Amino acid sequence: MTDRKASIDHELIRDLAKLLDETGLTEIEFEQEGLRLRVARQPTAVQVSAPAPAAAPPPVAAASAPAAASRAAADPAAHPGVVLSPMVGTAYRSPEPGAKPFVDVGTVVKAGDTLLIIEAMKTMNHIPAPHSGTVVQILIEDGQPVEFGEPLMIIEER
Amino acid sequence: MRDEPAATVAGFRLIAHDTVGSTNTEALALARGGLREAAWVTARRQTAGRGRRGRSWESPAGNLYASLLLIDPCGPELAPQVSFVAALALRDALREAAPVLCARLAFKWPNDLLLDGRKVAGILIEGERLADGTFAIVVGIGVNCACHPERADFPATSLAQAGAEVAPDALLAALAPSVAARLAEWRRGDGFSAIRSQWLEDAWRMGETIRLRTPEEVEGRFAGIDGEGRLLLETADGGLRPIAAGDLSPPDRRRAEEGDA
Repeated sequence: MTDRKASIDHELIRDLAKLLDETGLTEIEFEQEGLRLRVARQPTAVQVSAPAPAAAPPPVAAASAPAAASRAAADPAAHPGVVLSPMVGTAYRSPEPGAKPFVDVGTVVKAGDTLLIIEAMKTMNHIPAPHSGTVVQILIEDGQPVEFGEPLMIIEER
Repeated sequence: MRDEPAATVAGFRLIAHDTVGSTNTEALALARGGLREAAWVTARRQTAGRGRRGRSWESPAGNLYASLLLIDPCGPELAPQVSFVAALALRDALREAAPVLCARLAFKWPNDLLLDGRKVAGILIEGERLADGTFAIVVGIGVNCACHPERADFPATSLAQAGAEVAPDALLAALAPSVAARLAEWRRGDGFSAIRSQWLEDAWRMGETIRLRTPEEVEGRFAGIDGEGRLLLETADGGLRPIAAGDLSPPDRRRAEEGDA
């Protein structure tokens, strides 16, 4: 955790800290090649970047439209409960056209439950829930092309 | 049920059923249940045979229904390449079991086998990351040996109709070693360019105008497949659009169907 080169850590930490500011999150956990980093700040620190009283609406809601869009795009990938696409393909929310979706927003899932299918070259990849929790956000439409690493859903752990 | 734990085919474990819902579903269930070795699951008939996107696959006795479970053959990002590996292996097996058909077989993107321009076999692959982190894929193969559906999304045929009498067991005996050989050639993705170019040599409608249902219908020229196996559709404005999923048909399909009827 701490035996990586300080120069790499600095850059990464700076990036993550920037992401914290941009997204208004209080904590980001990041893991790559055995390196795990957690960047967090006290909730009071939010007030530094958002000069509104604590009782005011969150900065994201108050932001102008373009800023809100860019924050929304940055948000899901940084969320600890995000499910990323393991492949390029077409995402399907139900087992077949017209059928009930595997999950909806609010669905309580357990680890291993199928969330959606991604098809490429007639290869149907069942995407399982990585952990149990509640589906709080679905970031793709049924039949939408997705890229490798694209955020698909957010499952908030309970 | 004819469940023979000791049975093997070309070094793979063989689990042969009489009747199941779907050999793919059975194979996936074995993987979820903890089976961690490659195995073929076959059935004489299926009661809930599946095709792409929940379509049913007619599965009366007399045809081949076989699913190969592979444990950690690659990561999910490379699994779509197995479509082409399996298609080549299936053609190898058909050529061996019915040499008379050799020159009459073609690949319909991504992995259907056509015989005289009609669908004779289909492949459906399903992948899943299991709870212990293992990535399993199931390669489901259906071959119309004795009979074929009269009404299907794409005109169908059978080996018998084309003049080749091949029993499902005999075809499996040819298929199991050919899949093993093609998987070895593929080398977990390192050998994909050779697989891809062999597939392209016999690709149906290559270079011609095609229609793709993705599900919205798009038309264009079939310009090739990219390094991942996506179909490259050349559109009217000259652009190349990579397509990962869809049903391929001739552009004048509706007229052709009326002509058939």
